[in-house]
Amino acid sequence: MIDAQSYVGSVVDPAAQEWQWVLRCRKGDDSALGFLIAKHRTRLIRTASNLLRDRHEAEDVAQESFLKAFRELHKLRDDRAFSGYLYRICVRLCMDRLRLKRAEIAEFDKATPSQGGAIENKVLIEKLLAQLPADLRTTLVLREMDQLSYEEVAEAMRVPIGTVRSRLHTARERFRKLWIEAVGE
Amino acid sequence: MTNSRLFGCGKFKWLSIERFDRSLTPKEDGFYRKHREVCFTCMRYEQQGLNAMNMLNSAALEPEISENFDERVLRNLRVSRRPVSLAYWSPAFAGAAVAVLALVAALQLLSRTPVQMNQADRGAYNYQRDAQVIAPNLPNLEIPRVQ
Repeated sequence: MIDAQSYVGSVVDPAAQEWQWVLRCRKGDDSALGFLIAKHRTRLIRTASNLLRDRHEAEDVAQESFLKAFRELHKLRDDRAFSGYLYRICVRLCMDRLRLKRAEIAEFDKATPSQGGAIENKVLIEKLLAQLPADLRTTLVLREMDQLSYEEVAEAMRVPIGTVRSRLHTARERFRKLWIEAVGE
Repeated sequence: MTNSRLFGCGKFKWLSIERFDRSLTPKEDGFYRKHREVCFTCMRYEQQGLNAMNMLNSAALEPEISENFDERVLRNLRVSRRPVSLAYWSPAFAGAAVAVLALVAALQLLSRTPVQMNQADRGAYNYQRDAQVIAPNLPNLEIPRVQ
């Protein structure tokens, strides 16, 4: 596995640095591809894991996102926007999968005994999230779990900020109700 | 403190969700605090909302990346970039060739038929003209049709 830190050279501005790597990718440089994968994989897999609640599926989606982004690199008008472009692809792929998925609980792949009640809570949260529509669920997860700003959520989902606000409000309210029903507070 | 719903409960609920993303204005904050002190239902509502959001935050998954993730992506990318062999497309090429041949044949048939008919008409006209030149006084012989 390539370490993104090993590529960090004398260039200070990360955006400019990434721009250089994207330019090199366009010319078919494999080391540039490796750098971009190493730089973005953690973020993509984290987001996909939180959205899909399945680590294996999250890796698949992240891989699919990279492949799609690199194949369609020629469609990217501004090389500096690669990061957002890649993230949007990932979120869109996750949303597509969420829409296709039935509202059922996906089993956690690795349940370590030391985590105790945390696992139960995670399963419960997963069950509750599964009952939300894909749009609301994605907005809520990006904001609450990935800690994105309104602007970042809007960019990732390609919707206006006002839509993000209203969706987030609705999602929180619905999630609270579901939580109360489940826990019986 | 009371269990019954009071005037402003709707506003309180709205503000309790807004608080997650922005700091309330002094006026909103004043209303919020006062209402919470007197309305047990809303206080409970606020607590439930906080619990739900705390649980949601704590349920975030940390990414687990398999060792060969990068290699897998690069390998798949190389595979997808590789030009597909001619054998893969051969049935399509054969089909396209047959279709082109059929189209050419059809076009030729369509374009030849009127020409041939014109040529036949022209031949009959020439024959009549020549007959007039060679034997102008000969009566036209009409052969009765055999019934």
